[in-house]
Amino acid sequence: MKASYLGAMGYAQRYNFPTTWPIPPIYHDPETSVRSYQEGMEECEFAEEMGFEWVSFSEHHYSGRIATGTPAVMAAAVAERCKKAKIAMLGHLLTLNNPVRVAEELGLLDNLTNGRLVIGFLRGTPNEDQTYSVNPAEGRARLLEGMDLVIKALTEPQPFSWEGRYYQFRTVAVWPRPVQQPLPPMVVATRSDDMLQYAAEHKLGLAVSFVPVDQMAGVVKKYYAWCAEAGWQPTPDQIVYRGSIYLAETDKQAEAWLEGVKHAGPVPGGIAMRPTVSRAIQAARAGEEFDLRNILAGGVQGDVAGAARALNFMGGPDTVVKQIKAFHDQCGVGVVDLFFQQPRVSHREVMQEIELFGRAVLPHIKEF
Amino acid sequence: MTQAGQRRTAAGKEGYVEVDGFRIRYWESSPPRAVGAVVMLEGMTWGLSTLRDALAQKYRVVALELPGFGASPANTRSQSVQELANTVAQAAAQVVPEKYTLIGTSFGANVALWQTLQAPNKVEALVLIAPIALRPAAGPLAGTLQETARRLLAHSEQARSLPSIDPAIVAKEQTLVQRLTGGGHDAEAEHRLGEIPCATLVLFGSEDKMVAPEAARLYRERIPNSNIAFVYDAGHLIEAERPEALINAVSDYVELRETFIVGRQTGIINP
Repeated sequence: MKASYLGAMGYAQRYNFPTTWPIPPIYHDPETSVRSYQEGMEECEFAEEMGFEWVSFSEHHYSGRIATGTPAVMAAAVAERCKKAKIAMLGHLLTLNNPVRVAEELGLLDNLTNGRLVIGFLRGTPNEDQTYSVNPAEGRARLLEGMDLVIKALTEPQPFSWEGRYYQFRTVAVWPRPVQQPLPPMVVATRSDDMLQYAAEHKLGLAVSFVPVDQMAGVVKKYYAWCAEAGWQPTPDQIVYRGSIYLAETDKQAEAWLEGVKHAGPVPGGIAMRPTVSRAIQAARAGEEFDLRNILAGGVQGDVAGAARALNFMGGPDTVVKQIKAFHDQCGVGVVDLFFQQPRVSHREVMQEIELFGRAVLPHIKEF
Repeated sequence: MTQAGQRRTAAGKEGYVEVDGFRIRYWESSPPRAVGAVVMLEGMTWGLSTLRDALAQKYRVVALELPGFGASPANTRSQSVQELANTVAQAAAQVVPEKYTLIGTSFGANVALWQTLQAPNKVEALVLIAPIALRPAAGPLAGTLQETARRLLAHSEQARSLPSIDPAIVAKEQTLVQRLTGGGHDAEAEHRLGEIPCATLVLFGSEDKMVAPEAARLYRERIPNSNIAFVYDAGHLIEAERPEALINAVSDYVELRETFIVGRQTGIINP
């Protein structure tokens, strides 16, 4: 089993943020921000040094918690520091982006890293739909078409036109082509049946984020069945789990940290929106009617990110090894992608956790 | 070689020409002020005519029924695609004396390709929709009605929505296609693609199960002034699954040829 470090590049003073999304840019201080990115890159470098085999990046917007709205830019910067680790784009929010531009970024990254790129496609949390005013009702169909277009753009050796439902490009000729032929490894981040089927039919890997182990096991079971139907079996590297982690020297220390966080007030890790907006997004995603008159406008509440706030791995090394092993044993996970930058954890503490993970956890999970 | 008269149908004026002993049916539609002529060769289109109807809003459109297709008797005389193309070129010349844009679908595209090679001075532009001439990884073309319907569509569950077609007609057409193509790759056509002098658009459904996507790039590599287009989420029978996308791409190309790649849609939201 392999470990991946999520290069979240969180803003150092993120614990001062309100529990809302988006975070008003007024909270941004240039000096703190520059330092935060430097610290984030140090964490990636150190993770590689400690034995993490992947460093991952994820597109998120309008917030300093995961401050990589343009993940390819961040990946390119880190790739110059991390010379061995896979650079995993987990990934672009394809529904928001021009798929041809995404293909160009991926092609370039695979060249810059000399074939170390891993590609992930995902739709994003409901709030992300609002970033570029994409209709939430069209997100799934956009994602499906976008994946087809990215794959075609990365593999077709002649200029072509694309006559899609959501995208029409009369000249596509992506340059540079990927170093890894015919394609870099690809995973689809999803729990939805139609996307699982897409991944299985196209022989793509699977990534699941932040859900409990039994829930992931159910998702993986369906995915395996569809892969078998399509006549192939995923390798361990094609089953990726992304989880939040807090690692301490002992379980007792981890629990004490958690108690301290609880007593410090609301954990600023959610993605809360006005209920009217949140329900409108959810209704649009589900293809349902939404009547604003039935909902009173009010203060900010709700958390549209749901499971993303939960800590999936917490404790001392032995406990965390067992928790990760459960995902390996019950779900076939071969790569665990870890989000260390908890809301009230400083850069110094993250570095300590990475060191501890590399020393006391990684040697065990590599045996799985 | 005389026209055998015309009558008006829902698909336009219906007429006949006689060429090489074949009585070839055609349909002609035209707006009052047509801006050019389009000849369409229809092969295994299952009676779909949305593209034809759309083009007829602007152009004089003549759709030729290939000898051995549709309601015509079984064609046992044409010995090759080239020979059939020669027959069809003569028929087209009788009905459309001026230059025209030539559009062929599926096997009709194979005939259109050879027609262009044989009568290059008559064809202003060429549009090949899901041609089966180049099949570097050839799979079966023929099969039962159900098998054929499944292979024609990206979403076979939509097969029921196809216009009903007499299985005897499908079998007759498949027999002819199999006899003339051998069900495989036309190496001679591939070799001669560089001789096509006119602007050429080649379209494939992104989920075409009858022709491997590798075929598209061969056309693009060999035909000097060519474009290839993939119609997303469509199988071999693009017109059945993504008619709007097909009409949009082909209409633009017929009007603009290779300059159809130039964006013309405004980005203004609120002026």
